[in-house]
Amino acid sequence: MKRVFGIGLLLLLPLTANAEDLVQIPGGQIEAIWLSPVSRQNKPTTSKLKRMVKVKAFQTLRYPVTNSEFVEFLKKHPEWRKESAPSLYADGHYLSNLKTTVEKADKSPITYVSWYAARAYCESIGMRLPTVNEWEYMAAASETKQDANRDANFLKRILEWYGEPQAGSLKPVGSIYKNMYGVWDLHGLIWEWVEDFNSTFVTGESREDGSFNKEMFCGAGSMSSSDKENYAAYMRFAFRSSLKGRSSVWNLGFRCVK
Amino acid sequence: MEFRLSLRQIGLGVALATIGLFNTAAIAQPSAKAEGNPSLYDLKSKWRDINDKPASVSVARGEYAVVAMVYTSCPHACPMTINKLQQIEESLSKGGISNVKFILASFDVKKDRPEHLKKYQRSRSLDPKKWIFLSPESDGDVRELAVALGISYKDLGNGDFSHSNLITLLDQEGAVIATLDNLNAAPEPFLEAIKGAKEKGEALKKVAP
Repeated sequence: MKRVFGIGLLLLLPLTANAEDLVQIPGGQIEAIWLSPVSRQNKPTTSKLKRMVKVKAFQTLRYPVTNSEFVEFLKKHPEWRKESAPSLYADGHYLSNLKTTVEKADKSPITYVSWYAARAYCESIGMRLPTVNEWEYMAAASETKQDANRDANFLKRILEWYGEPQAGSLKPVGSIYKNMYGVWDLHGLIWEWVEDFNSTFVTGESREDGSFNKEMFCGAGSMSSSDKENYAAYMRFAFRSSLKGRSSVWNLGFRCVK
Repeated sequence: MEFRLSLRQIGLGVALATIGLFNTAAIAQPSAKAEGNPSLYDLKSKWRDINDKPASVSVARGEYAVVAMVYTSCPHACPMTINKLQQIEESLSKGGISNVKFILASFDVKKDRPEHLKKYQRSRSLDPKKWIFLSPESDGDVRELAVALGISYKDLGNGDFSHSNLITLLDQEGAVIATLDNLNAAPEPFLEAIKGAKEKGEALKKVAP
């Protein structure tokens, strides 16, 4: 009886990430170059006005979640397998490239994973998806600078990756670059899910002038993203706003934070 | 010089990234489970009704439901959304359809507590049997419902929320059968969608033994 109870307790305890898998990101603020300086009243302010975003300290997984880690998750949470996940949580491409017999050594990042499944994975290890601000904050760091969002070489590298045709299998995590915090592969390997991916819109109008279709959106000026200087950040916002929660994409994965 | 070069690469980047995405969508084959109609009733997000009892959008199971997200301290869009829902109610009842629930789920975890929503509902004289206000338990629950409905929103941190004004019609099983994407849209598509769904349902009954 006691033993059964013990096993039950064990099952209830979430698996937690090992300390060596985590990187501490100090709190701070960063110029939200990805948000256009537009006030809530939809009146453009001077383009020189900086929009600063404050981010509290958090911990992040050093690497994106891998295939083998996700397979372990599926063993404990079979409700997230391809054949079990409700269609609300998964589109027809969900886990379509994941072999059930993944080797422990498969360090390729998990992709074709929906926002719901990514969230469930993070929850299972006592973590969560990063917010847009948290992700952009840690991803702004290059190998040497905390904020490389205006570093032409850094941006060029990111854009080159966006432009690179990537066929076949993805490289293993930890093979692209490590930023100054010690976080690997924030650019250059996959796109990553964020908790509030649906907090920006890119409409035909906002591409031009940062304004919104007022009949569709309430007080939406502050949501537009239009800084042409950091086109890479703009592309990430455009990509995120094209996603649905059930979308599964070949190069879209995630990492967790807490 | 270098800037010019990078601009060219940007254009290439956009083109290739876009091609990459669409290619994949065309190649991958749907798997078994995910083929069915997504049902909002599969959502696990936690809400409370105006009497502070656990509730969710699935309270409308078995009936048609019109769902919108609001925050009641919003001076403009919330009253407009309710007006639009009342127009939809009128349009449906003129078309002979009255067994429909109207669900208003709040973005505002802090202010829109059940007791506040109860007062709001009373102040608008909305029949609590038909009009369901939902109070979120956490920001994550709001995010999950908004994502499921395809509503974009952002907490502006000053008590206001930017959000798209999408109104969704669900069938008896929680599948989306029609949407209105702005508050100026005419309500008729919802009546047509319900009529269409009913005809389809009756045709199926006739075929069945």
